[in-house]
Amino acid sequence: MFRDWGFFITETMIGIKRSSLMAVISIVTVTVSLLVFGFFLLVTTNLTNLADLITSKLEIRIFLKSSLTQQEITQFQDRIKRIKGIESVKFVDKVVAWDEFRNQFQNLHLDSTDQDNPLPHSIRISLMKDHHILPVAKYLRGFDYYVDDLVYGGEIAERMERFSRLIHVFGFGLVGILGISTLLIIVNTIRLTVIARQDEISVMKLVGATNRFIQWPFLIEGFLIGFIGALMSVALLSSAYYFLGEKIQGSVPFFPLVFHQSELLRIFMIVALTGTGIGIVGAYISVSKTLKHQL
Amino acid sequence: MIQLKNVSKVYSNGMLALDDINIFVGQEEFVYLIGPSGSGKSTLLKLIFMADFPSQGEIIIDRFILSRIQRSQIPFYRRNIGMIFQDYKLLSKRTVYENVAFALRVMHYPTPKIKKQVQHVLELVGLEDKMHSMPNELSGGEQQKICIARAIVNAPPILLCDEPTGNLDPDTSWDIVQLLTKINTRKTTVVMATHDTEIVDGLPKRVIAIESGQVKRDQQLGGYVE
Repeated sequence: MFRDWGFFITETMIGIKRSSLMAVISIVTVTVSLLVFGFFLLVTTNLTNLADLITSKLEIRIFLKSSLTQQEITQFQDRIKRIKGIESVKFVDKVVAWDEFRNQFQNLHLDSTDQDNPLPHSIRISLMKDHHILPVAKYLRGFDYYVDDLVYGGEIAERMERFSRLIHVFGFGLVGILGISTLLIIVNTIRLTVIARQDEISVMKLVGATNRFIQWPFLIEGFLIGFIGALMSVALLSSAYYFLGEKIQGSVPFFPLVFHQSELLRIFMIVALTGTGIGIVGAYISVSKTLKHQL
Repeated sequence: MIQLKNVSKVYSNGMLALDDINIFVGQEEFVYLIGPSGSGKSTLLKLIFMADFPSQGEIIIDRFILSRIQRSQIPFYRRNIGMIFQDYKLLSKRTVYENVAFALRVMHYPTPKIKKQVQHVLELVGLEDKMHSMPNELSGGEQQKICIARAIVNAPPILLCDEPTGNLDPDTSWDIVQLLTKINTRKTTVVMATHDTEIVDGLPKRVIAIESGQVKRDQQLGGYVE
């Protein structure tokens, strides 16, 4: 098998050389498709990151029932702390809350009135990054022995959740369509090479070549088209992302663009592997279809 | 070596190409398969080569019962048979050497062995000095010799020839048949489909005459006509 590799690579090069224009067109098509795919991955990642960030900034505030003893409040705090994804749990005494409120809204002159403290004891809960607020808020609402009321900026949280989900669904849909179209392009490109080399395939069959042996040069060609296209798109994407990213950060500094090396590397790896994989699978489909009908 | 038992072939359009054929060809035999165009000669060779399948009957080639060979195993079976065509079926963009070496490449031969065997077989067919030429630079006879060299380069026990002299002038045809006879003496069974009367009459061998898909005559050292 290994001694055949030299032959396979030579055959691949002969194939590419003979239909060089077609190979260049395929590489460009793969590059463009992967550019759109990669661009969308970057946008999705950044929007998801933004959604997560906004969601994580939101906090849950529980207004406790006035009938609760201090011991019950402590017990409830301990239970909350055990919930997965909780970052901090802070008890706010109603006296402190009332003082804060009066200080914050001094223009209401609440000090001069005989107004009793209308506020209940409360608990402020913040969540760790990457943990969604909605399920936690819904879960906490179930503790009706302790909870008089619960607020969590629900509207914003739900919208962000929905938006995030929409991006994922739309993203997967678009990625699927792009993937299939790129695959079809490669299938057709390789098919043209297969047709151009039909005589050689017949001669190979004639002298006893197995289908697997005949397939290899075409699979290598598919791999090369996918790989070169992927490399080009990753190079273009990364340079454009860093260039535009710096510009965006310059003008909108609070926008949390993803610049983690590991996260970007993951995206570029997905793009590269998708391109290469599609190249090989496309070539396999094309050549298998042709060989299937030949004896 | 080659045995056909009650073999019939009906094409999908209903045409009966072979009708209950029974043939036995022994080891190292040289057989002419004669008959007019459309008589079924090429179909018979195709069935032996497994380029098509019989509608009925059994074909046994050496140790192979063809009906038991799976589709994926056909390439391995074919390595036991050399095939020569009227239109040569050469790779036009490859040199003489590459055309012949191609057959050994697909059989995973190591490069030194390929070089040795290609050199040897090109000497046998008399093309050793044309090794680096392209097929279109050579005459029809020389191109047919490349085809023969490719067919015998791995020393198969059987050589099937489908009208090998069909495109050649009488002198070159004679040259090719001499070469096939030489290969036959090296213990290769040769089955040659032809309608070249001069060759069949000039170099008498066993003749199997096929007409309308049936064996009309099977004669040792026979001529083109009875």
